[in-house]
Amino acid sequence: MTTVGAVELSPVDITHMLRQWQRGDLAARESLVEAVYTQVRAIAGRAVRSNPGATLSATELAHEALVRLLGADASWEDRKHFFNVVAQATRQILVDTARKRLRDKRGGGLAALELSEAEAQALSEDEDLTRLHEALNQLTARDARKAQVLELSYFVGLDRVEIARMLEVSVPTVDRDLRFGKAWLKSALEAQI
Amino acid sequence: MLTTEHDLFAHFDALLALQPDARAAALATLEVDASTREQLAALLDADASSDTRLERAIEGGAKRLSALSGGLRLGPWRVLHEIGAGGMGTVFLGERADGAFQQQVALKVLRGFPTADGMRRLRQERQVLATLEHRYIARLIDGGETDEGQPYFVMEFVEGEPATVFVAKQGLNVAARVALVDRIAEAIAHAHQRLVIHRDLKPSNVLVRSDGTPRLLDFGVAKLIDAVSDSGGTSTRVWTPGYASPEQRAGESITTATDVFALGVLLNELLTGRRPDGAACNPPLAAVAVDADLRGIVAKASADEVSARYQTVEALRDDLARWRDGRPVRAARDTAFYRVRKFVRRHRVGVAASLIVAGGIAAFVVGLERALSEAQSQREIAQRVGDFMVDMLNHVPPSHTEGRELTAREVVAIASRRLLGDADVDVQVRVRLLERLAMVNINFRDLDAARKHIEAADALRMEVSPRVRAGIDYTFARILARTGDMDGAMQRNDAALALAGVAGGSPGLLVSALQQAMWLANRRGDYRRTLELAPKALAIVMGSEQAMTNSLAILNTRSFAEGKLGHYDAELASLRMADDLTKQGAGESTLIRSNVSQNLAFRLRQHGRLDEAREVLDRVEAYGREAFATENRGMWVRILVERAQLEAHSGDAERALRAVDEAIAVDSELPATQRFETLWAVRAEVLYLVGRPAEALQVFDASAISAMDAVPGDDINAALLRALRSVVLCAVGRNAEAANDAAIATLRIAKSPSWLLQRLAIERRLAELPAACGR
Repeated sequence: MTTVGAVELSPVDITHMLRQWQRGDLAARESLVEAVYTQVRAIAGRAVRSNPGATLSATELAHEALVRLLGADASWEDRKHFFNVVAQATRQILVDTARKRLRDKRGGGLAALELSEAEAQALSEDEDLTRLHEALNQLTARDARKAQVLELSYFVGLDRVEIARMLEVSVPTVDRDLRFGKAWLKSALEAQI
Repeated sequence: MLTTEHDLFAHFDALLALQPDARAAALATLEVDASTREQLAALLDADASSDTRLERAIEGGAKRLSALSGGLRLGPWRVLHEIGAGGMGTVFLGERADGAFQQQVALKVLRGFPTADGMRRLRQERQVLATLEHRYIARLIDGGETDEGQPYFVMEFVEGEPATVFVAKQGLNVAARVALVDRIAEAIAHAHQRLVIHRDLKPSNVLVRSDGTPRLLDFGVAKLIDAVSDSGGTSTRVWTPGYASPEQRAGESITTATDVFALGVLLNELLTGRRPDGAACNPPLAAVAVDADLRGIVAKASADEVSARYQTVEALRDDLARWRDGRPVRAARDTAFYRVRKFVRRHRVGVAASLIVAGGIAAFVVGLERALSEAQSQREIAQRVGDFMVDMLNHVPPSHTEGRELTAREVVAIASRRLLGDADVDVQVRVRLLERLAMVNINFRDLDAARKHIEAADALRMEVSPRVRAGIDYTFARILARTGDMDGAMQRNDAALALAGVAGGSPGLLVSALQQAMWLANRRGDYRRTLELAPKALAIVMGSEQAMTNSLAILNTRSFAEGKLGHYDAELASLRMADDLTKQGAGESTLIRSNVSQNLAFRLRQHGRLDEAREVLDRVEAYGREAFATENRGMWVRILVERAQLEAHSGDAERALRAVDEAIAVDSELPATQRFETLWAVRAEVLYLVGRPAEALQVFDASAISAMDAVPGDDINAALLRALRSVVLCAVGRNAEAANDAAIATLRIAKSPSWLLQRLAIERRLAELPAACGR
């Protein structure tokens, strides 16, 4: 169960929303993204409470959200559509959190001198995350599929075969998209040191 | 000219198809504008770079989302990074955030949220721990709760290596290792004076600095965690297997003796390079030679019984000092005698199964244990038996025992040489051990040796008590029965019964002798006597030490007699009773259980009650597949064979063959000594039973049945195979060859004195042969 606004959502509801979205209901998609977003946050929070120091990778976060929202035995069709949502929600939440931290650090008037090495590194990673987000947006505008391939790879952890199956393209196509997309993102990061 | 994304991608792709060193030149000749060229160059650079900045940013973001990490503060402490995590929570490296002074600390954030009461006890404990000030103890500096109420505490950060690693790297000699443990003990003793118990002492909690001084970590932390995880009492849930004392594992109250135990285990590990579970330390830690006194100290410190341990850490330190100075230690020397005792204790487990799975070692061990444990009542003799064993083991060349345990066979061989030789051995000791060795040799299937030992014992029978005499007669009977002298065996066994039955006799022996009497009666065809003896035997075993196992054996023997007398209902009732017995004994070995059930299924099948047999077998199979998945695989094979035969008799060829094929597959993975040699014959039998004799014959043709003939000791198996083949040959109309095999089978049974059951099976089989193929 997860909550969107005040509404409890069961796997059945989620599946229903997925179907609606497939039929062209964009509001259903919004609700889905919101549900996943809430869930990813909750999962991360719970992980800390039950085990201080626990860290989940982006992929683990996305997969756990998927299993909790859709249930472990969801059909491939349902998963396929949901992966997209999960990828975007996970990306969004990582970026939002990074932006918030950057605001806090800068707005908090903490002088750079006071930062420990670990903190400085975290800060630069947060900055990279926001840049990465922008570069992905630019790529989406120019070639949406390549951006999608990257999202599914980095934020859901799908492998090349799964991505090919999902986007109904060949595996070599996915390989080429990934290689280009990765170079795209990396050069975007390098461009702003 | 504006480059579309597609063009950019196409160019990128085309450039990548070239050799890396040709790309720059190709790029220079491309007809694109300058900014595209620049973009392509940047993309190629990025592609070639192995930098993981991208991945780091994503994973770093995810981790910060879900973890306490950089930037987090606990009170005045800033968390730097994680340095470890375990069952108790997570440890971070931290430092003062207010810059008051430069100090690195270990921040331990405990798992879970305590109740209000837990929190109160936690604060109390922290108070107590804060008073521990000792050069070898890492200081507790601070403690508190996170904003969310999660407790943490702050300890001095120690730069050092776990004790085992330090000792391994420095290659310390035995004296230096003992000295290190003594320092650790000094710290523990200091804490004990302040009524603080460590509770979780182990190598990873003893860091040694480069100058060789130890620092003990996590003093009393186990108790702090208890405060977090429950509401009170003497919970002892936090401990480390191997280092925790028996009372700790049992959840009993913790005393300073708990730390004494852990010190003993730690000392042992540092001396031998072996962890408590027997595994080698990592990195490997070379063992040093340890003398009997030091072994005695280790044994006394890590004794299972609290009362047998050093009462205080100071007492342990005192003995370590005595050892160092070469003075006699207070701990008993770890002599060969102790090793015998330990050997005996360790091998006790196998005893329950020995009735069904004949174990040569088990009998010896039980006998030895009996001899040794008579220490209270017959102290003197027991002492002398012990002395003999010690003396004997002391004569084992050192190269024999260096670094490993003696095997039971080695012990037996050594004892045998001395007892049958002229060695000056006390007659009481000699007789007892001769009798045990006879028994062991029976189980080793060496009847000649068994007879030699028992005759030597019997020659001295007037020197020993009636009780010991009963044992000699019992064992003698056993040997005679195995050599086919049933009358002699019965006489001997009756003598044993009479001696064991009188006052002061041994109830254990009486039970054994009664069982043997039943078995002998069956062998002699005196089934009525078996039925007479059964109620008495059952009455005695009820309430005895191994009531279950003994009852099963008696019921089994009785059922056999009932079957022979044609009382089939009684026979099956006995077997059902045995089967029910195993169902009640929840903790009983699945091996025994399935043996009994499989036997019941087998007899039910023989009586044509196939549905009932299937019911029983289904039950065994249901738990057997898992229970025998990794151990006792042989039992699983037997179950499968029974399944194959049952289904073959029911006409389900497919299922039968599936079972037999699985049996063959499982069997092929068993060690050579445990393999069932003739599963292929089962396959042939199944094929024959489901009406495919021609295929059955092919199996025979492909096998080495003639090689079987050549094995001298294996008459019974050879006879079985011949009998089976004769039936198959007959079924395909090769009557003359069938008659020939039947004749050979008959001949070979005649040669084999024992294995009654198999004999009967063969005879039954041959009796089924039509006259045209018969004998």
